[in-house]
Amino acid sequence: MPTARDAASTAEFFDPLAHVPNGAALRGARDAGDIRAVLAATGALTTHDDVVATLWAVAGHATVDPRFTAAIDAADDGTPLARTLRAVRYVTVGWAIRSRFRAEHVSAGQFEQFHDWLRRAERVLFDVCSEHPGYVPAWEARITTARGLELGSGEARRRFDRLAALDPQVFAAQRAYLQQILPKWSGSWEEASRFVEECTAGAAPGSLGPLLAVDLAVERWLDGERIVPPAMLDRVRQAAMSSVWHPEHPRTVATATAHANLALLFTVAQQYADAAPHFEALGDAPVEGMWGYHPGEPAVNFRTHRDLAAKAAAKAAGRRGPGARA
Amino acid sequence: MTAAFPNLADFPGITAAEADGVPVLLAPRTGNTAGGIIFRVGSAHETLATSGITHLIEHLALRDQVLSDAHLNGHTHADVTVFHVAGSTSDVVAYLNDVCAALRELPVDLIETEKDILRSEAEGRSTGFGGRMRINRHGARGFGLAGYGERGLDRITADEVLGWSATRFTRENALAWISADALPEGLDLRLPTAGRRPPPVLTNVLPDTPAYLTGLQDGVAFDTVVPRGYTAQIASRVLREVLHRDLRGNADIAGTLDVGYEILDDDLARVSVTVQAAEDRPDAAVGGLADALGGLRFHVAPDDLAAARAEALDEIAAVASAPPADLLPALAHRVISGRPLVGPVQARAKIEQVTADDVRAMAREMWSGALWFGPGVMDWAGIAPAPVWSQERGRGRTFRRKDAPDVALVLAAEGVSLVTPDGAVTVRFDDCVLLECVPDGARVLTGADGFRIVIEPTLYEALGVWDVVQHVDPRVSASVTVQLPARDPGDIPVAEPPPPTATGARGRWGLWGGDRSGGPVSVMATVVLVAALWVVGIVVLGGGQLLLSELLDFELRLGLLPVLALVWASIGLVRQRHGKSDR
Repeated sequence: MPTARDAASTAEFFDPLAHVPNGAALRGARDAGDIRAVLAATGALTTHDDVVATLWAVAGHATVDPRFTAAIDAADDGTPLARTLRAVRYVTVGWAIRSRFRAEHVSAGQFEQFHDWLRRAERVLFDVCSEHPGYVPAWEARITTARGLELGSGEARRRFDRLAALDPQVFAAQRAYLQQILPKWSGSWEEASRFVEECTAGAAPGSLGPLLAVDLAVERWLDGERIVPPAMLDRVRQAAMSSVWHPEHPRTVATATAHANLALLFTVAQQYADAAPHFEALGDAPVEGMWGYHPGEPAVNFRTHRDLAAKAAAKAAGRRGPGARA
Repeated sequence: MTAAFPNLADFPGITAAEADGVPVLLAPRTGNTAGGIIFRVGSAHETLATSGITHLIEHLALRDQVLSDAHLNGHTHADVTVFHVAGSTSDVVAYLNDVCAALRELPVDLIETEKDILRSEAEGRSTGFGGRMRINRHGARGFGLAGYGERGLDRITADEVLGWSATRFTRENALAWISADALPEGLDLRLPTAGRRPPPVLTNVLPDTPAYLTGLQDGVAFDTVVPRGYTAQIASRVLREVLHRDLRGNADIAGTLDVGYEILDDDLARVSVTVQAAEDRPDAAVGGLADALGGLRFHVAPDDLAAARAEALDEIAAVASAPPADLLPALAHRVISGRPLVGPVQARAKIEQVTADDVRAMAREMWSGALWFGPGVMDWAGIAPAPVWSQERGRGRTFRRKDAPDVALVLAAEGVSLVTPDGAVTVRFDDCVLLECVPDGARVLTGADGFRIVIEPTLYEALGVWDVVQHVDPRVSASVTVQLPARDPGDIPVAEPPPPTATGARGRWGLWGGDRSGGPVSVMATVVLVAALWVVGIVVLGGGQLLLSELLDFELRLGLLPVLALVWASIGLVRQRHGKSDR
């Protein structure tokens, strides 16, 4: 998600790289501007969700610093990974300019620059996908460039389908395409619901597909549906059981994002006891997920609600007696 | 000199003879007899001011054909004109003799009748998106003329018809064929002699490619000019395989798709691809087509190459096993075009030699030469917009457009410009390939590069009809000037149209704004509507003031505002009903 945030406190507090294998080394390399080391470490990752999340996390660093962009450009060794990092960097820089306002609040000048960066990104990605049509991270980024450049949801869907044909379980790609078909971009709640159903039905055992429902529920909440329907909460509880709590669930950085979003949804639904295990699962390494949607400073919110959830869980555990688990 | 005699060694059963200086290809067949004659002249040899002249001659040459039971016809193509017939041997002889006799002495008294027939044939026929692509690539010349109707019909004279016929429909420019083992008795193919003509000139007005045009609603197309040959043919077939898989087999993106290959001259061919999108998916068709061609620059799947080769080899096999007489029309086209004849054995070898590397290299050529036409911009794929403005702008007397003061018409010594804040369109007088005139003083100039300027004197401040007529008419060659009949007065634009969105781009050929929807708008109805607006307006606005002061004990002092609102609404109404449509 190109929800680039430059607030240092947020960047330090939320750290998706903490959930990536060898994340500390990656963070160190990124902070030192050693992009070759970043690429070497990213190239060693084995799941598409980890690679994709790392690309966005690195590219979203210091979006106002042209030297970091230059460093990423300079490290382009012609590999699809390095080229995709460049492209994702252009997207995050552009998206930072656009800021996170909805389209009607963005000035014409911002839009021009935003589109300019996205076009630069798309040209790189077009060539990468031409030359390496099996390279999933480039297709993932193209779902977002299609949205930003307003190429149409048919085109975004085509890109998602190309990616899904290579790997049907990339949660980041499902989340990226869901954005396209939300009413705030060019879709509708019905279309978005259908896609959530599709991802749920097509999910491999233990995979994150069913949790796309959380994204949808949070989006509806953001859109003004202040009471999350109980049926939706039940559905999400079930989705969590069949994904992040499933014994065969393959952990990736997307797992952490899913926990963060589950915690957010249960928080806004004021189901703190339900939120608690998801906060806990993140341990000392929170990730932002959709917490930026919550009014106020995301890190502060996250901390505050994590505490509330812990208290609510303790209270519930007290009622149920030791050993009980939600 | 006649059309070079072909080497027919690779085509057993076919021989060549000569009748009255015209080469004749011969091959016997069972059943009835087929024959024809082909000339190396077509619509792409014309100019915009003479466009339609070849077609007109084709019609005149067939004017007196009354043959029982014989199937006969004529066709005017971009590069050649063909007359053909099937029937008894004597039918064929009579037909060919009559065609040549008519071409020696055209029935010029029938010109006006035939022009009317051609005009009604053209009615309802649109040059479509393909026409716009031709104009944007080739300009208003050569192969670009396919983007216009037969505009020359309105001015072509009998002398021009005779001159064109005497220099193009000649024995050096002709080749005949008959499905017989020897020249039949009584053949008389005497034709004028005036030397052999070259193929149409391949013009190009696209400064940079790849380029794109926007505005195609329900799909996407591109065409590209590449070195002709078996590699281009195989690459086109490979592309079709990829598109069938990416846009149809694995996805429901394309309704129909078409890949065409057209030889343009000795060196170049046009490959064109059209994808009609499945419902609601033109955006995906654009992306899918761009990715398909983009991908071919790097990867050619062995299965796709094998399928493309197999398909081409099947066609060669069909040629090899066909009765020789069936090949005569195609061979005649090749011979008259001056292209070498490649026999099946040689063709098979050449097809088998095309490698995946060759196809990849050809895909790069296709990409870099492409002109795209889709619903929206394609700059995201590194494709530049096709030019919508001329390089030059004239300096001279300037007239502002009444409804859009930032748009001006410039009458300069060397040409005419339409200047807007975004750019200018210029047609130089010495480069003008068609000047269309109507008696009310309006003029349309088309430049060789395909840019067009419409001058409607009523739309510009201080521009008199005589300013236009005296400035433009004497500076443009009479040989490209056409005088059209008077327009319906209702088609002359009024001075208060809504702001135009026109950019002056190439290919906006809706002459005189004739595509205004909904038919003529009655002035009387407008007067009635405006009156009704005022009656209702005074009641509502005036009543509203009274109502508010009654209910709220509040006197609303709108003063002249309601009246101004009504004036504004009336102007809007008149503009909406009588404004000039987009041209």
